[in-house]
Amino acid sequence: MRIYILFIVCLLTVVSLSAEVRAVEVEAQLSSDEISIDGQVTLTVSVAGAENVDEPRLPAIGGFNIYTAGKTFSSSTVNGVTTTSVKYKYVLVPQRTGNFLVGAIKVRVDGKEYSTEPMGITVVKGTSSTVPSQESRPDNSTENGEYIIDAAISKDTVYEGELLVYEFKAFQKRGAGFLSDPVYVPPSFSGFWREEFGWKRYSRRIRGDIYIVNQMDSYLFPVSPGEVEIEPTRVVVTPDVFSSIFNFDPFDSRSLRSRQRAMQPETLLTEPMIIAVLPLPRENRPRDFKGSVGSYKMDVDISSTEVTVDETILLTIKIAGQGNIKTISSPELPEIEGLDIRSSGDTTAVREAGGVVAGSKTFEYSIIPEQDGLYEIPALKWSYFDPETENYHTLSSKKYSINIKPAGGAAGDELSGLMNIPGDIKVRDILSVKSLDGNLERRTRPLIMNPVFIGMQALPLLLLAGVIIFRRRQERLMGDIRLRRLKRAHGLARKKLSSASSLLKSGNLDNFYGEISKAVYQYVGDKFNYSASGLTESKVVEILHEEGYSEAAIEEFKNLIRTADFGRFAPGQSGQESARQLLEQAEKWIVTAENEGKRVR
Amino acid sequence: MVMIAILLALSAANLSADAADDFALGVEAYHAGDYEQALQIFKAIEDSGYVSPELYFNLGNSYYKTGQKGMAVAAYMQAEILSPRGDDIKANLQFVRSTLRDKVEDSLQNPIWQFVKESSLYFRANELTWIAFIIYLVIIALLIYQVFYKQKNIVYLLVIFFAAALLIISGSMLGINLKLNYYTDRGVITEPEVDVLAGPGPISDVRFTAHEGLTFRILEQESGYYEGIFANKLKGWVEISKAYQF
Repeated sequence: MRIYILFIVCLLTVVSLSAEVRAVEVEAQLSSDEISIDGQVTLTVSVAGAENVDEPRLPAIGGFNIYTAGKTFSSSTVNGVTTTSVKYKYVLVPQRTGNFLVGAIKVRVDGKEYSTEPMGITVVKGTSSTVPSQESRPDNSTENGEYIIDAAISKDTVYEGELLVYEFKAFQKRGAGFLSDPVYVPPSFSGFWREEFGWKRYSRRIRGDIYIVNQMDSYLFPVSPGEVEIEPTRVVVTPDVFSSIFNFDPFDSRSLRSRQRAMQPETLLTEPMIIAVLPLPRENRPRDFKGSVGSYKMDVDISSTEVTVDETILLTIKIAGQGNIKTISSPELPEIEGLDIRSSGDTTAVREAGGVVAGSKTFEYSIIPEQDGLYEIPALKWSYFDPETENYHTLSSKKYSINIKPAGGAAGDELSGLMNIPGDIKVRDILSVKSLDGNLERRTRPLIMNPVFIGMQALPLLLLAGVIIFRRRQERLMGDIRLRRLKRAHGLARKKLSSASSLLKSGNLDNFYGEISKAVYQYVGDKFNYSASGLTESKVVEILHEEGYSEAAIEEFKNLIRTADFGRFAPGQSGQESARQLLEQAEKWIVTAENEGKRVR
Repeated sequence: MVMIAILLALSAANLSADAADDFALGVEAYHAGDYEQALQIFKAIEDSGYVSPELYFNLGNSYYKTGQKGMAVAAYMQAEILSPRGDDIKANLQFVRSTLRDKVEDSLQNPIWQFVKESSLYFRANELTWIAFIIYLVIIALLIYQVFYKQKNIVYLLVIFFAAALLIISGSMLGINLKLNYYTDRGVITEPEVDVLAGPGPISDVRFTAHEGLTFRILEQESGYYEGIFANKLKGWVEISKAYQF
């Protein structure tokens, strides 16, 4: 029983301890609380003591674009105590200057929500990426008060081919004026292979003043053993004449002479440096060693291990690491009967990585089978000297077996040995350039984006709309006799008057009067939907009265119809002239009736 | 006014003739093995605002021969937009891609979308525009016929339905073609080896390493970096100086 109690007590102790280990801590940190508008700052949200962590919820940070920059998870056990930590990294890129607040960041851990403290961040103008840090005057430097130069080497004893960094810094006091840009004359660095990656520019606070620092790191690789001297770096500075003479600072106690002296061009020199370059050890030097010094790894890749004789295999050897990347030589490739191995060139990528030169060199080879069969590419070996361990290391690839099969059905093919490309084209190299097939055209936007073409799309639609409207109108007229008669009344009357005019011209007065009479009655019948044959003078007068026509128009009608009737029933009494007057009278009355009709409607 | 138009047309014709002469010089330089010179000539023609499938094809060849595989891929892809059924362009593009380090296949792509995309890119945008326009005119003509003759027979209805379906298909293909060829910013890696980062800055984590010639779709640009979406939906940021936008 006692044993059980002891066990339970122990268990509770362990549980309470583990609960203590699992105490959750959430913290947010900015890499800098003041940055320039062209810089960026990293926001890290750390959650310690928990594994089940949701992605933090960032508040909107005015004036910044926010980008996620990865998540890292770490776990360590020390003396039986396990610590876990998750870090979320964000890049904040400022969009405008000012003071901004990064509000509380909320993180849900195991279902419980935690918040971080708000933080302030200031975005300033200018190019300095961070607030200048405090620094004492550099060692081994020379200065003219407003301009300081300094040079340093990473080590004074190195092996042949080992990296040595020559760091040159020029400090220019902020606000100091120079007549022209300082002239920088670097050492010749004879006896070294040199790599440089451009100037770095940042700010430093020295003895209370802010200096702009221009730094150039020269990465040097000694080419032969012995003592090698690095000559001084020379910088010529010429202060600004005008700002020196016209300096009205009441606290500047220098005399005019001393100010003039300060205007003379001045040459600043760094100290020369002696480097002891040790020869590489002869003991244990591999036979395939070709002089590479540093730390490397090798990857060998082959595009295929089973091809037909008309296909090409690509062999890639990549050597990556730290050291003089550009001078790396390819491993020796064996000569294999039946395989034509040709170099397709190499590519080099070099970069600065934390104070060393890193990168890779990739060698590409095309393996062109000459006959089918089973081949073996032996392990490729490549050696380098590591100055850290002071030992030679040999890297080795695995062996590759390559099965070259006969070309399927391609016996006697003139293009045998070439690479298959879809479209029934077989090439070993790219197809050659082409002559112009047609004309060179001006670069234009596609037709569909042309405003004229877009406008053209409306024309068929407009045509369709027009056709529909026309057809509907036509159908409406067909279905409404009254409307159809009304619409055609004027046209028909004019037609009849025209026919009467022809009769008049031919001297056929008998029929002329009848045609005039018909024209007028037909017009009234069509206009008011009556049968023309059933209309009489009195009926028309009645209709015109009902429709609201003026007395003048009615009187004119009466005269007109009576004259026509008179002419019709007493043909010998009327002459050509009176007939012509009647025609004019009829034409006039039709126009009057049309106008009156529009008025009364 | 007419004189000005004629003069402008003549001067344009002269300029085009000059560019054609330069083009012939570029071809000559290439055949003579002076690839650098050929590249300069073809680039100058392109910079002066001329385009043609042959120009981009030759540019691609010149880039490849001068060791710029990434730029070669970009040039062949531009040639493909202008001549999408050109077997020689496909052959050279595929050949250059076969020599690249990154062998990428869009294995996660939906086969239906793949088919639609390939069908849309089989035509030039202008070809699809004319196809859609002609179908549109046919539909308008059929509707006008309907206005006059009130057709209700099944053949007429099938014809108009078929024409409408063709218009929708060709219009959609045109939209996809324009989106992919003209409204998508594409980039290609131009350095031998480039770190693709999780964010737009050197402090960001490296997601993967891309090599010269790998293409990607540009999503945005920030602080000297492109945010790109690579094959198989991999996203990351690449330094602008290490890629070429086309």
